[in-house]
Parts: sequence; structure tokens; C-alpha cells
Amino acid sequence: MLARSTIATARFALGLMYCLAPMTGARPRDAPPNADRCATEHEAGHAVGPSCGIKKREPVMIPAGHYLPFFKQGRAQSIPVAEFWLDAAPVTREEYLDFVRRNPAWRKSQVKALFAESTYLADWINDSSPGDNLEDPVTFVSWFAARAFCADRDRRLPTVAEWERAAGALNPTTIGAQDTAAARGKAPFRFAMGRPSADIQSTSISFGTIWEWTADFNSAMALGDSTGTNGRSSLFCGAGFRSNNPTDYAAFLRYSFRSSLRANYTLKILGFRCAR
Amino acid sequence: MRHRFTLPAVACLCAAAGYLAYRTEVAASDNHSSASASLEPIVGEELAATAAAPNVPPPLTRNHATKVILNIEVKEHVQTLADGVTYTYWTFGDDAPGRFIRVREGDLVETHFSNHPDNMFSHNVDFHAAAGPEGGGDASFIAPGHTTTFSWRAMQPGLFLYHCVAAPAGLHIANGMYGLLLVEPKEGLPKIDKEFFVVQGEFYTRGAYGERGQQEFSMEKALKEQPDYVVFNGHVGALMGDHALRVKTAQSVRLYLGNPGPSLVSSFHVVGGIFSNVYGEGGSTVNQHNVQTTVIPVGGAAMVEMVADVPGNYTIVDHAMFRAFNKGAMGLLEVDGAPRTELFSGRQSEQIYDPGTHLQRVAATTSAVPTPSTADGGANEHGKQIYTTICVACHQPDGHGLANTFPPLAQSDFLMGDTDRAVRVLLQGLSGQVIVNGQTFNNVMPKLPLTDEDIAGALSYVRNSFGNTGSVVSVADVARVRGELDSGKTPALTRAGGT
Repeated sequence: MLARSTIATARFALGLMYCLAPMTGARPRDAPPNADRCATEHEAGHAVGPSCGIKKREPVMIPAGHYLPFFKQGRAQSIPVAEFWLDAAPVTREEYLDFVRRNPAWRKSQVKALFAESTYLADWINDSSPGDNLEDPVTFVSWFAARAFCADRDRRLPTVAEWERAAGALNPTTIGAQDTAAARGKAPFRFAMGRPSADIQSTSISFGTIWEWTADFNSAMALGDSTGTNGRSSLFCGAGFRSNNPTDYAAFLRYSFRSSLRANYTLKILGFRCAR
Repeated sequence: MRHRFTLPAVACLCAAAGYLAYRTEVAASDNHSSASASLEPIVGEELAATAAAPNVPPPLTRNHATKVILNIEVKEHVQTLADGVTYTYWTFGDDAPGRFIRVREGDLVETHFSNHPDNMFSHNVDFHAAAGPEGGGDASFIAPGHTTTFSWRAMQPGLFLYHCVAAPAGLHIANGMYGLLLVEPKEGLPKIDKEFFVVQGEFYTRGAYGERGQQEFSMEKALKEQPDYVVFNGHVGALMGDHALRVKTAQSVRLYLGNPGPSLVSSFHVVGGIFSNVYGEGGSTVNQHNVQTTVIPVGGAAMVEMVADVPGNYTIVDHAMFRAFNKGAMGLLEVDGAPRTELFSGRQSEQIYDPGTHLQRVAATTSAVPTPSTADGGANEHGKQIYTTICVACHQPDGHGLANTFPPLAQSDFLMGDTDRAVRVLLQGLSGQVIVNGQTFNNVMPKLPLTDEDIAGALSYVRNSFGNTGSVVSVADVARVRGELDSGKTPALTRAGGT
């Protein structure tokens, strides 16, 4: 019990510190359109390829719609999602470089350990050099960092409901059917990382090269905090019973993945995009 | 036969002493193993004893419980599923199944569970031997690039599976995340000469069995519980050829068996063998003797012991035979030693059998079979029919055969090189070692009840299918070879070189 409450206290303090952390740096500016540099198809087999196949990086309007939560909350019911704007692609290393230039607190060498793990920007050479592939999505970033980036641009992280409304399209009987053979060879379950919903033009928005942070990633189960022993148990053997659609393996994989995260985690395959 | 009876007797004696002590400790609990009543002190610390398939680490000789450090790293990586077929496996350690883990009853297992940073998914491990929520599933659930530690006491002896239970659990298991863990009783298991482990598992691929290249998980087939691959130790041929299990005659062998599924119950059988002892469902007691086939439930285990007194090849199968012949559930136990003709003679004689009666056959009532011709490149319907009803079971729909088991016909130097030899094979059957495209095969093709028309048709078909291009074989060719054999002009064919 002592250990539990200590963790809870620490997590509360962590959240509080984030809330109180001053937003530093200049006002936001719009994302630089870099569609020209983007190849039409991302390089086959590239672990974290550029988000290509889209005309522009500007945010895309996602019309009001519905989202069927993966896990039943009482009766199965779809939740209305209001119209919102979502970036057409994940934030790139180039965009993130601009952010850390103006916000020293988020530089690789200066980030607070509470807000990001030691692998924060692990593939960057140093504070000002993200290395090659500037158009690739930035990864090895924490939830705290992603939140700060979006806030810096007067934006925010999308909620799970919004993200799933935009990218959770999947016919479970044709899982992966749209994947190219080359992409399949390297990452056969990449389909789980998102597909534009049926009513959203697939050429206007790109998903499926990385996992993405959401604002409420750790409340997917709506069952308390993510460090406890109760919150996730429904994900294991009880998962099928509580799921609205136990054949939607892509959704299973996304929810499973999100529920394993903590806000300071920085992973090779995890980036983000902003909404407003 | 000596071993079949002495083994259980020794086991009983050994077990009796240990069991008495055990009973004293848990006397009040009446067969329920109450953990708190019988906690042994933990003495010392050591790395877990593990071994890669099909090997089993040697018996533990400790007479006390200890802290066992168990390191498991999860990897998502491309491995070979069958000859020419690859699949992205998710594995505990380097391969599926994970390493066999051997601990002693009472041990504290400190598990260090790591998810490789290049992995895409979160994983965990459920030890069926760990009595606690999720078997450690929640305690071990971890994102890529992270490691977690949890500890559990191995309180109840027996053979247990471990597997990933992260959602969707069926997918994680179907991708290879499973292994076996033996909790050895305090008194140890009865002495045995050889130990191996075999885990049966399924792969659900988008392509059909044998379809070449990188294959992917098929959700559709998984939902129908219709895998294209049912394999032993993670790969087609993992227990064949150089990887066959090898013992000597009269050696006692114990097989530790597991079946993570995720769908199919295994009817585990060793062709030509009888299990002298079976620890049903992997429990700690021998509950049956002299068993031909034992069930391994999905999510369960079994232990079997046997002695082969007669040398030879004993094929290991799931006796649901289409899994064995068409989906990969086949292995080999090779027994070396001197023949024991007093126990098993082998073939003693062979003569013509003519009872003087006739049975009605379909072939006898059909109209004349067209002779294959060069005009259609040998692509005759009759030959195709013969192939798809008879030959296909072994040589497979694509003519590629089965790795290490049945030779290919596609681009086969053996088939295409000598037409008369091919006719003789169909007339007489073929047994023993043959070399096809540089690969050695050692199996039996039976003599089949085929007419000359059937043989001409089938040979013309296979010589002009699967990418082969060759001359057609006429009925007259077959009749000529048959005549040569009957007159003794050509010696009977036994082996590849024996023409």
C-alpha cells in the first residue's frame, strides 16, 4: 500500500509540475510546407519513413462524426466527435528542431528527467542536429514534450476519440490488405498504426508509419491510473469480452500499446501530431 | 521390455520418500498445495537453467530452494517458417518456442523481462507456473525499449507453458510467443537417459501452405481456427533431417510437450512407439501407462516417457493426419542400435497374391482413357486427375514436396533426368535414400494401384507442370518398361542408383 500511494503521489506531483511549467519561447508559427521534398511513397522498409503521399502538411478538417469506443462503457454506444482540425502528418524532425531552438528547456541536453526518459531524441546527434531525414517524423519524444510542442503552436494533442475518429478505419476482414508488399515485409502489423476513415480523403492525410501520442492515452480503459494492477487486466484475457469488436485486431493492438505507455516514455516508434 | 517396467518402479520408490516429506509440510491442506504453509528458505542465487529447442537443461541437483534469475528478451524479427517461406516472428529470446526453463519446486524466480527497442509492440509474459493474477501478465506488460522485473515462487511441480498474453493474446501466441517451464519436484523426476522438448504451434498465413516469400498473419484464418501451418518447435522441419531427435535402442527418453495453440488440441503420437509413462496434462504424477496417443490441450502440456527397443525411424506426428502430412506437424525420432528381430522382424517375404476373384473398380467402367499427346504439352486431364487425387498428398499441390520429407517434382533433376526410371518408380514404388536437386531424401513411396494409362497420364502431367517442360510418356513406354521388369531384363529398382 505504501508503495502504491508513493507512486500515486509522485504521479500527481509530476502532473502538477507539468501544469506549472512555464511556456517559454516565441509565439508559434505555421508549419513549413515541405511537401515538395517529400517523395510520393515512403521508402520501402524504412523503419520510420517520412509521412508522404500527401499534397500538403496543413491541418485537415475532420468533419463531425462518431467514434465507437473499443471497450464497452456500460452499453455499447458510439460517442459523437465534434468537428476538429488535425495535422495531415506527424510532426517532423525539422519542425521539432525549430521548436527546441526556440524552447531550450526541451533540448536534448536540457530536458528534465521527469519529463522525458534518457532516450529522449536518442537518434539526434546533438541539440541542434537531428541528423539526416529531416522530413521523417520525430520520435523518441515524451507525452510531455509532445504536449509542449503543440501548445507552442496554439494547438493540442488529439484525444483518443478524435484520433480514432480520423484514423481508426478498418474492415477487420481485410486487415493489411492495402499495405504494399514492400511495407509488409518489414512491418507486417503497420496497419494497426492507422488508416484514414472512410469519409476522409486518403490523399489528404497520412497515417501508418509510427505510433502517435494522444492527450488521454492512459485513460483508454477509463479505469484509474496506468500504474495500478487493475487498470490493464481487462486488456489480457478479459479483453475480448469487454471489447465492442473483438475481431478488430488493429484496435486491440493500438489500445494495448497505449496502455503500456507512461507520459515520460520516449520510444523509437512513437511520435505525434497536433490538433485544434 | 525391461525398462518399461523397471522405470515406473524406480520412480515410485524415489518419489515415495520425497512425497512423504512433502505431505508432512502440507499435511493440513489435503492435496491442495498451500503456499504459505510450505515456504522453504531461499538459499543463494543463480542464473536460470535454460536450453534452446529441442534440448532440455540437465536435472537440478540442488536440495534447497534458491533465487533464480531469469532473463527474457522479446524480439520481433523475420525467421524462416518453412523452406522458402518467411514470417515476422515475435519471440521470447531468439526463436519460437522460447528456451526451456528448468526450476526447482520452491524456487523464487526473479524475472527480468525486456522488450527490444526496435520492436513495434508492447508485450508481456504469463507463466502458467506462477499462481497469481495473469501469471505475471500485468506485472510484466511493457513497451518497446523498456524492461521490467517481477518475482514469483514456483510452488507447484509440473510442466507449464509460458506465453504472451498482451491483447490480442491469440495474435501474440500465433506469432510465436510461447515456451515451456518445468517446475521440478523437490525430490526430482525419475532418472531418464534422454530428454527433449517439443512444442506444437500454429501459424495463420495469408498465403497457402508453402507459398513462397514473406507471409503475413491472416486474421480471417485465425478466426476460423484454420491454420495453414501446424508445426513442431516453431518451424516446418524443426525436428527433421539434421534436427531429428536421436537416441539409442533401450535408452529411455522423456519428451516434454507443450501446445500453446492458439486453436488446435494436439493428438500427440510417435509412429511405432508406445508411451510407457504419461504425466497427463503435464501434472506431477504418472497417471497412465502404455499409451499410444496422448492429448495436449491448448494452453497445456504433457510429459511422456518411452523406450524404443527396435532401431529405425519413428515419426512424430499430431495424429490429426492432414496436419502432419499437409501442414508440417511432423518430426523424427531416430533410434540407433542393433536389430531386434525377435521383437520386430521387418518384412520377411513378399509374393504375388491372386485370390481368383474380382472387385469392381471405377476405372473398369469408365470409357477409354485418352493417351497423353505432345500436342497439349502433356497437360492431359486424366494425368492431372491422378495427380490431384493421389500424388498431391505427398508432393503437394505446387509440386514442391515437403522439405526434408517428400522430394519435389518441380524442376526435379530426378524426375526429368530419366523417363524410364520415373516409370519404374510408379510401377514398383521406391524406398530408401534418393538425392533430388542435391537434397537427400529417405522415405517410402508405396507401389500404387495404377494402370499403364494412369502412369502415362500422371507422368506426362508432372513432366509438363510446375514449370517443368519435358516429353510426354506414352502408354506404350509404360508397357515396355513393365515388360522389361517382368522379364527380368531390368533389375528391380530399390534406390536411386539401383537402376
